[in-house]
Amino acid sequence: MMTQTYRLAALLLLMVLPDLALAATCSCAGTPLMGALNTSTTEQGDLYFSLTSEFHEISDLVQGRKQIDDETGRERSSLSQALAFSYGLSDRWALSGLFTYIEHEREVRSSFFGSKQRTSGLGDSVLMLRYTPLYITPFSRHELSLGMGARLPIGKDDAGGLIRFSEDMQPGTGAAGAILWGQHRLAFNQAATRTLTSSIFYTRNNWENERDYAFGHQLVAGVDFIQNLNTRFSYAAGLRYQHTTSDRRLGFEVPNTGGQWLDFTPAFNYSLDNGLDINLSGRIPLDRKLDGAIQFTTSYSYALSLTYGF
Amino acid sequence: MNQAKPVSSGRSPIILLAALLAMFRIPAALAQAATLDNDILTLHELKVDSQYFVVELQMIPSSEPLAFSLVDFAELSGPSLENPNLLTGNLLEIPAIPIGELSYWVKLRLQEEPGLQLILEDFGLNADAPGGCVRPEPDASHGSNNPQVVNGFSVSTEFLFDGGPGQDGIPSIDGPVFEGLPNKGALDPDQLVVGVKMGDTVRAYPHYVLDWHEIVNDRYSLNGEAVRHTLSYCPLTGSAMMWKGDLDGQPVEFGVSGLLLNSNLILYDRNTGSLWSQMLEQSINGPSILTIPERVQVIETTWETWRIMYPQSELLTSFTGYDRPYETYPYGNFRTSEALRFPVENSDDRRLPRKDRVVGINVGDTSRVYPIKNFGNGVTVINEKVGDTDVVVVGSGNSNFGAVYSRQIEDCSTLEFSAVADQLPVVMSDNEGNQWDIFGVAVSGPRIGQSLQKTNSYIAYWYAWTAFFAGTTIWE
Amino acid sequence: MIAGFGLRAQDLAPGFSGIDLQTGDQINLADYRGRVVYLDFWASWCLPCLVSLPAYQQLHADHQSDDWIIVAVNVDEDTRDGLDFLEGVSVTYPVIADTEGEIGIPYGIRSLPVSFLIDQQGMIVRRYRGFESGDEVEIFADIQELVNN
Repeated sequence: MMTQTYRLAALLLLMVLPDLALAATCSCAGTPLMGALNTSTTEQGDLYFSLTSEFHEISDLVQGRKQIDDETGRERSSLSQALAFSYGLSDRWALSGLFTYIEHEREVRSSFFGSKQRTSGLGDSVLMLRYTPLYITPFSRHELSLGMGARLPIGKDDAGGLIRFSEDMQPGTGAAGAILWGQHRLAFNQAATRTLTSSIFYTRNNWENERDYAFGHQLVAGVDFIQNLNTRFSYAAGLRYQHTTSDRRLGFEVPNTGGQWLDFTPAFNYSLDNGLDINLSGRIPLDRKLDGAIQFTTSYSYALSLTYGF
Repeated sequence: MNQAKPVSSGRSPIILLAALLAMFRIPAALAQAATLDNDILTLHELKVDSQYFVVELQMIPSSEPLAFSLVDFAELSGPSLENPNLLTGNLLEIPAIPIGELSYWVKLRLQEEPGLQLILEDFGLNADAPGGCVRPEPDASHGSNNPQVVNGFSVSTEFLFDGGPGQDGIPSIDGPVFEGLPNKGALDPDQLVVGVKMGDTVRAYPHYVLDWHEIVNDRYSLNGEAVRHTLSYCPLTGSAMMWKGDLDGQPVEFGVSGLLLNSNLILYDRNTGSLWSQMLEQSINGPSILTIPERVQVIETTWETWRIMYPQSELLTSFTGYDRPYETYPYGNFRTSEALRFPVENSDDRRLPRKDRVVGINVGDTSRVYPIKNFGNGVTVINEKVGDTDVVVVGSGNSNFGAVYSRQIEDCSTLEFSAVADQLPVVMSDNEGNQWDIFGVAVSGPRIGQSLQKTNSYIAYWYAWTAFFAGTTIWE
Repeated sequence: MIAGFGLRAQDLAPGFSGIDLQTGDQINLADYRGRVVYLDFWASWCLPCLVSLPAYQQLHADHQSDDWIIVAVNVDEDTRDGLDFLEGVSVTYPVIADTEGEIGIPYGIRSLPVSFLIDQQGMIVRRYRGFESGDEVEIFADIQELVNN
């Protein structure tokens, strides 16, 4: 029996939460991971599951702020499937987790190795503990949540057989990372049918993987406005800012990694009678400023998500 | 030590073999008229008047002058060899005995008292005869002399990685556009270029364009024909070289495979799809595996030095058909930092800073490098031996160049070189009075027009050289 | 305002008092000691309440007795919205207003609708979150069970 407010929460989690840039060597501004993390508002014993499919087209060649022509006919994309859960340990504490399966694809103009190269496998996982000292209720318009967790490299990071692919084509990062998260929600009315969510997500990537490679530290900040139209349908519009430092190998900066991105993030949510929520969201680049001389980065991305609560 | 045996007609094995061979008329070209094996000198065909014999002689130990005793002999049915040995009176003339790589003529005098002996009268080196002075062909392989092919690769794949962009993700320049007579300000004076001179054509390929494309498939006019040549430059290892674009008689183009071995460019050829390691200068995978391309000497130096050497040089422009920020170096501070972009072998050999440019040479299993900065000001010339090859190393620290050539010329004589300052492109002179330019061509003197033989050498960053060729020695 | 901990079964039901919006009578939870109380929190903007209130009214009408009672708490910021709602959905059991959360906050309510089953000794026996048509059957069964014990 999902109530109205929970449906809103389900909508929120999918757009507000940032992605983890796995593909930092081509600085793909988010091969999806964190975007599918479920941070539904929970009471003790609540359990939410969501299944998300997210697609990234990573074919913009950018120098600093300027997009330039590639002319090598190269295409690059990533598709991820994520299974996320959220469990209310108590009224204030919750546990969120995420498992991913990632497919990367790279296509070149002409090749003796076949035109398309593809890697696939389990990606990294996330486990996060959340504490919510302030809740939105009919008597309080503010909600505050804090989270702390880890990105766990249980995934595959050695795809490629004899000739290993570079880090940006690997499904997993191969190294652990520490995660800090904070979110504030403001309800504009007592019914909380109109809300503004602000969130910050920080991933610290201090550890190097087996090939001495560490991805850049990442900060993602988002602001989302969500409006319920009726019991079934809601939409959202938001802005997402990401800053990633450069990757490192053996402690030295890897050139052409890192940068800043600003995206527009619209989303639509539809609630079915049986308690299932369907969410469609997208990410459209507004501006970016990339470090180094030249990088491939995300042209656009979109995601489809199904969420169900017990 | 054997005592000289009395002449007998007991047939020694060699005699029997020689007689047997003669019977079957081994083709003349294959058989030597005389061979020396340890202390046994076999004359496979000795003409005495109108008779033919096979004769076996043995060196008499501690003889002074050198003398041989007769061990055995047998008559042949007839002549079968060109250029047989001749006994005229008491003079035995042996036109050619191969000893090692060289060929000698020998004259022996027959002495009958006190015992039958042949005394060495005179001998000399055969300069012009086939099997005469053969200047040894250098071992053209940079890698192991006996590479094993495992999983289709002649090298270990432990340090073979996908670099990220994918094949042709870094596009080669297939239709290079040159500026004839560029003005001095076309580049900053200390920007590096790769210089090539073939006949009257002189071209410079600047790093700022090569950093973004790594390969230029070019053409040079040889004997009136346009012959493909591919210049490759790997920005991560600072190494440049030019290969003739010829594979099994077919013209061929190369591209960037997107793969890296020890952080160094792996090319692929567009005829067979085989992979080629740039610094090993050999195909490591595919139908052309183990093939070694024909190399052309290149000179890497600054734009200022190159213009002094060859003011008429053409310059590759950035009109490539691609939209790239050529004014920016693509790899940050990589050229000067100790950073590694990819894991490489032997990365803890820190005898030199990682990005120090060195001119390195391989001779068989021996490897040696000459850091450019150690050449100092003006022109420095070093005559030394690396492995079994006499080499001359010519370089300059402040003018920023370095090249290594073989000192042994076609007639097997070895020259000694000394530096010539302030006369670029002339950089050295030799003990015969010839003057040589930076490409190893004699520009004046008795040998004018002759070329010094190239060696397996090129400039690269120290860390890359020691990654491929561990155990390399450094010239201080 | 800080939301209180959500109350559950085994907790003592916090006492409260208020004025019945429709009759003007004083309503105190303490007065209902000895009876089973079904306490329902609702608001005009709570869409499932369009279904729950009539269902409760039906229960009240069909099974009203001295053993049990429904008490409704309207949490609308503006009580007039609640009264407007009641014009469309009329109920005859007590409805009191709680605009500031004096009642709601101690009960730790977060989303609506939420209701509590309180036994004759004033202990919360069960909490119900949300409402779907037909839920009133189970609710009444729970009330009956308490009444018969």
